[in-house]
Amino acid sequence: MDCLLQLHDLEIGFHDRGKETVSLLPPVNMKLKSGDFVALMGPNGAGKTTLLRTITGMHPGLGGKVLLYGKPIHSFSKAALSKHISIVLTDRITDYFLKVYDVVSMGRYPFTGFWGHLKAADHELVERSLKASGTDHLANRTLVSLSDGERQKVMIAKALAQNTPLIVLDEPAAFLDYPSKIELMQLLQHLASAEGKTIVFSTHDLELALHTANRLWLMARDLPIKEGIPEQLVLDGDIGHYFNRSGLVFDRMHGKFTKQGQTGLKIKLQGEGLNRKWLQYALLRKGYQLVNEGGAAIELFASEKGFTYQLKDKDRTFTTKIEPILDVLSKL
Amino acid sequence: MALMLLMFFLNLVFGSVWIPVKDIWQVVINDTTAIDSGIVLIVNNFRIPQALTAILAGAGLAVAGLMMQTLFRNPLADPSILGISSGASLGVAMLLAVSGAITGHAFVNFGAWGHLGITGSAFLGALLVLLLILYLSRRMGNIISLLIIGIMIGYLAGALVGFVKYFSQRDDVHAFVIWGLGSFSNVGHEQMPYFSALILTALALSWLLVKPLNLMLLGERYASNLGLNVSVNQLYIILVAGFLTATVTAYAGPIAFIGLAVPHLARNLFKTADHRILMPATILLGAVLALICNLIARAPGFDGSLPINAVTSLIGAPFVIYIILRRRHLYLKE
Repeated sequence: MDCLLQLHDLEIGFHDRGKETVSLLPPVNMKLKSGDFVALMGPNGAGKTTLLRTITGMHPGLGGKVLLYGKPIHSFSKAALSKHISIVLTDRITDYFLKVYDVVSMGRYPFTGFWGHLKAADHELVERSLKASGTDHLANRTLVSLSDGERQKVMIAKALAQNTPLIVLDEPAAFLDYPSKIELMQLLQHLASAEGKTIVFSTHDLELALHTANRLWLMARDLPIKEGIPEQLVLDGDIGHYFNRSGLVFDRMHGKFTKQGQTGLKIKLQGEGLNRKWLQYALLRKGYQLVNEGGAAIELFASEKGFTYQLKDKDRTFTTKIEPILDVLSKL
Repeated sequence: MALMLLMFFLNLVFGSVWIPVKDIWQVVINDTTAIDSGIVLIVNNFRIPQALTAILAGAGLAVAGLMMQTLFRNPLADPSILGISSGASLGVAMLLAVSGAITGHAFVNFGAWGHLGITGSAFLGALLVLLLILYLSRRMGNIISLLIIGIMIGYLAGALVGFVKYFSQRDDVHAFVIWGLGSFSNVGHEQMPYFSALILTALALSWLLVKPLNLMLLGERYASNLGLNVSVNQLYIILVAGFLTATVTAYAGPIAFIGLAVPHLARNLFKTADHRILMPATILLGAVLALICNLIARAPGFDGSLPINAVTSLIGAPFVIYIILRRRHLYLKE
């Protein structure tokens, strides 16, 4: 029973006002296994949220099947489904008096009786979930007093308290600053590898997905979903294909998008190490063209100590900072 | 609880006639041999029904307000937000105008039957609006659209009331204005069993909704993922809260503010969002606040009684402002 969720010729979309159906993708055939840590990637409007809502049984598919443990997802009651799939959204919770502990406790509600009374074992699980998500020190705080990153972790704690094999997160990294994003991804990675949770999250942050997820699902409007190991998808050129947009090209060497059509200025860059790497990033960001052979307007050399630059027919100049070099280049 | 009993007792003691505590106790325990029969009459026929009405109406409105605020996830929601009390007003206005037009006499001259007629027509008007809202909520995918439609229905009913008033007899318009000021003294002995049965049933039903109400604090999508059938429970909440509002408005007039303020008082006092605590808290605080307002309305010097509506807002509004200003503790990072 290692196949948790199976998508069989699944068509996603919605019914229009005039009863016409709008299909977002060609039929999807995919599997989710226990312990998978999947990033769902695609440009805005590709249908990431619709796909997630469809595979969690919150939105009907237009055709095909979603099978949970081999059974159609619609054969599960809402109450039963809440014990198999938990979700984390970016929805704001607006109540002023809700405390972190209350919210995480609600993860246990599917397992409680009519009045929602938590037993000792439930409280224990709530405590454990708070610890696992690194939010135990926030337990008595109100939700409104938290930062976006803390709040997102609290909602993950809620999902952990729900104790479902599958956790689905819609844009969990949106609104987070960079360190919080990394922290969040490390937490999810740990939950997948150490606790055997199956985790699917959507994001439009390519670098984040490339460096953390075990598998990628690539989506674009009207293209079939592409699935695979992140690194292989880079090598095969799929990333560039799925994110094609005029003016941007995917630089496979550096795993990021760069502007197409660089300015004419040609630069010869030599050297090794950290200084060279970051000088190169700075030059690429400015849109300069790096060349190996002649015709360069300026020659740069990076070493451990700093940078040397030499304009055509001029003396060499040494500097320890990148900024003076960019100043010189901008005047050319 | 003790505060509520104390307030209940004070309500029996004070009024245009001051009655000694000892005498009241004797009436309550039904030992009336040694007391002036006039006092027995006042306590039994006026003071006790009035205090009971205040308790039931206060508790009912407060609970209805709590449920509306949670349902719409909006701190400004109150029992009148879906236009239900406006429906009651329209019912009363229609009754006054139609009877005036048919008989040629002002309705207020009809005596005891007049009271019952007003209650009945208010109830009917409120229930009709409630049914309309329930029907619309089935068709509406979005609870916020329903909120806006409810407010619009309120305006619509208000406008119709204006029309009807324009064509009504002068005495009837006066009667309508009096009804609109709200009063806890309209429920007599004969009506008390019905009134209390309706309110107590609805309060019991609302108590059954604490778990769905808690889940709704997280928003529809989280609540649904936690196994809640959101649309069905939204319907229950509207039904129960609407029924409470309809009943109270029919018997006591459109009483403002208690339904808005008491849930805020309860949350701030108990520092919680958990409806398992908020539900009993709003019931008790609603009853206490209504009793206090009734007490002030009948305070000596005001000769007779002030309109309840003026009192509820007058003492309630500053109190709520004070509480909101003081709630910086919610943002504290201990």
